[in-house]
Amino acid sequence: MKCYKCGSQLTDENMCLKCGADVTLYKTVVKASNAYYNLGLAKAQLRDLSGAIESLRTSLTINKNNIKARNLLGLIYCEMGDIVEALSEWVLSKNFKQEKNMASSYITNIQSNQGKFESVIQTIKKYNQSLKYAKGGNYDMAVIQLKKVVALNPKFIKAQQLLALLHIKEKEYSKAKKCLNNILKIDKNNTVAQRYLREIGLIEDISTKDVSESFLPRRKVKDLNSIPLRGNDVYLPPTTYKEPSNGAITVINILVGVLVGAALVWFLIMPSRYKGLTNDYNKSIVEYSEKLSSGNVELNTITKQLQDVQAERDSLTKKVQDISGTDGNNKLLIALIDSANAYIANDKIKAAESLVNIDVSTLPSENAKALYNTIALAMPTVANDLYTLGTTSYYKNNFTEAADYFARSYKLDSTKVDAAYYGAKSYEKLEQVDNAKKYYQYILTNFPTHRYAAEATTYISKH
Amino acid sequence: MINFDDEIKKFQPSLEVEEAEDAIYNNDFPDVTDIINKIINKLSDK
Repeated sequence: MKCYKCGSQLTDENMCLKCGADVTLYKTVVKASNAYYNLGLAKAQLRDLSGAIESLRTSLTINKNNIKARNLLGLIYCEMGDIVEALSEWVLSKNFKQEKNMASSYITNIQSNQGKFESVIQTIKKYNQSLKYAKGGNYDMAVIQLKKVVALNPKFIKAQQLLALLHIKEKEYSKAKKCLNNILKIDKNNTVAQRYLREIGLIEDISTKDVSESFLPRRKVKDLNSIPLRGNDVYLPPTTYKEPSNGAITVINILVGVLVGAALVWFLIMPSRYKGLTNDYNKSIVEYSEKLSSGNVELNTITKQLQDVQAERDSLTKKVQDISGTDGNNKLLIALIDSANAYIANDKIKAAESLVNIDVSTLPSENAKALYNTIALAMPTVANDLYTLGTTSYYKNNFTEAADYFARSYKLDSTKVDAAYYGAKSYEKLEQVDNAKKYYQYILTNFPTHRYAAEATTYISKH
Repeated sequence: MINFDDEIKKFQPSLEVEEAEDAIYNNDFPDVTDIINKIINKLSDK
């Protein structure tokens, strides 16, 4: 024991040997505090934690420097789930006595197990939340939270008490009793738990009494086996069959279950899956077919265009050949040049006959057409000259030469009906019927009203 | 019979870590030894 004034160690004397203070009363007070500590310790050893807390609180009220009492109080709080209260007591204890204090080891022990400490702190937060729910009338939520709290920290007395109260409210007395018994395992003389248990006992007694003391006659439980059978009753004999329950049957049942599951998957799920895949494939095929068809159409269009282009190319090639080849404009120009040469050489017959096969409209240039027209002015004169030569040959009975002259004359001047007539007569003399008919036909076609037409008709009809 | 409303009012929130500091500082109440010490000091002053 230390002096309350100077802190020096006291002896059996009623006076401090260092400062001379009277410590008689102080010693009495400290002894009283220690007595309450001893009482609290005894209660704690008997797991009367509520009673121990009461004694230790009294001890600390008398002497707040009673370190042992404070440390024990912290331990009891810790045991009841109030870890923060426990820490508070230990911190105060350490503050009063920093050396050789068990509180230091308790704090260190808690700090070293941080995970567990966090878990306990969370349970306290949940308990407080549950209390809010319960006070707010949200009992279901409160019960759910409290069940979690007591599962994590079964020694949390306050949570067990609140959960028991909520179970009592819901008339779930067996659950409430379970919570209360848990409390009494930790704190044997917990007054709240004992009161609740007594109340539950009273409620259960009343309900039992209600049934037992009812003035109505109790229902008789009918024993079916004792009722005699009547005519329409069907008697089912009691069966002796019992479900097998050994391990092999269980394994077989599991295997059968697995097989049934696999069969269900195979016959119900897989076909729909395959069907889905088939539909996807069919859609893809349709899409590709459409693309192929459009491609074919495009190919046909391009082929047709190619054919058109080739035909156009052939046509243009032919035109080019017609124009540039010996059968084209070149031929016309060559014939015109030959005619011009003959004309210059004063051979008018040759000039005219070269010119007769040229179509003036097809000549490629205006100069060529002008030259043609110049030479063509001589053609009627040449036709007359040839006709005269033909007449001379005709009267000399040289019909071959005559026919040639008349044919050339008619060719140069198609209005010269006499040339055609005597050409026909010359061929008639030569007995060349086809040529004769050809010239008679010219007369009938081009000069149907001429006097030679009747003779021409007669000859054609006879031959 | 238990009156639920009365009982629920008796339940108090448990101390959380954030409140520990206040709880420790507010714990500095005088005990019997403090009172005796004050009485003795007053008597000696007289």
